[in-house]
Amino acid sequence: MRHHVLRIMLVIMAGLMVLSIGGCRDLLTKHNIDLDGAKHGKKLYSGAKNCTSCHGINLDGNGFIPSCYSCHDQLWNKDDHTVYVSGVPHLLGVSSVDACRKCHGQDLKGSKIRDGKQALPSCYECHDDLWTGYAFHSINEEGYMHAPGWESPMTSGCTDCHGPTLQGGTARSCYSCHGDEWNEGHD
Amino acid sequence: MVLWIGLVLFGSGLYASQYVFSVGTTLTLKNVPLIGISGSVAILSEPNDRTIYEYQLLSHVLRGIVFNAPGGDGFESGVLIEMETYEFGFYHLFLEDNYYWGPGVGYGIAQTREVNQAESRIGQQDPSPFFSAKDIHYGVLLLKIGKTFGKYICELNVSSFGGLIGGSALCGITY
Repeated sequence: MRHHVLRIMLVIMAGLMVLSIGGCRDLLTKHNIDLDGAKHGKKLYSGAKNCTSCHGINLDGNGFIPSCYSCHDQLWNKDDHTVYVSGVPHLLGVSSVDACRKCHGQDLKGSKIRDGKQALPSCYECHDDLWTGYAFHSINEEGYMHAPGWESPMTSGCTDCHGPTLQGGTARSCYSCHGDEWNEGHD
Repeated sequence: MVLWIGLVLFGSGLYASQYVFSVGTTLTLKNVPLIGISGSVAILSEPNDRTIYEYQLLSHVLRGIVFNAPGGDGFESGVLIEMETYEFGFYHLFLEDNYYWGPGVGYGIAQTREVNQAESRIGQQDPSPFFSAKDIHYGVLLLKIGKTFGKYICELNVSSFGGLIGGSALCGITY
């Protein structure tokens, strides 16, 4: 009887061991996102730390599972990029691209390849040349950068990018901070 | 985890059991070496005279530091890495005389933090492959060898440590 219980326990244990290693369950067949020829798992878009179960605590490989750094440089994995816009992580709490320039370069064009590895992406890959607009958004109002003439947005050119009603165009909506005050006092 | 604990209690109730409390030091070898202290609570079950099952809860508090060599602009960056982990491991150990050894598997949750990280710049390599995050999950393969000295034990654990490759030396007391 005791040996029978022992066998059952061992089977349960074996199952639990598999489950315990089961954090590493997105095996190769689930790595079907092709980025520059390399297969990635969908957890890629949930933050780098979701890859650690298989790729190791610091993503530098774990046994036969390859290191992320064999293709990527070491800057990409910073988990302070927790704001996801269209699946792309952005730095939390950034109201000015000045914070982006520290890593992505003064021209925000990044360094796509460095030492043969994927490095910092260019912001232009997604934003095209919208960043050029930030150059003249030099007035800091409560942490948000505004362009000269922001007090009369309908006549100072804000509508060119922020839309004819300031509710968003190629640039963000002014309503996201200002609400509808533009309808009341600034038209 | 509840299932694990239930199984531990269930398993420990079946056979003669001992509880082990131990402390020691841990070192990782790959990339930036981390070193620190560890503590563990374990239950040993002996289904027979030659076999031990060990269920171990282990905690590590580790630190490491890495510097980047100054570049052409004299820029130097340094990163202090702090890591705290909690692991649950199961060992199948073989007992002979006062020695025991055997393999194990485990699962852990870690929290890492990079302190005083210099601002990285284009062309400047970040010296640390770690990153700051909570709830970093990892699996471990383990190998243990130890010796008992009456009520006391000392043991050496070799661990894959989620790819970091390391080991712990622990000594403790059994009840």
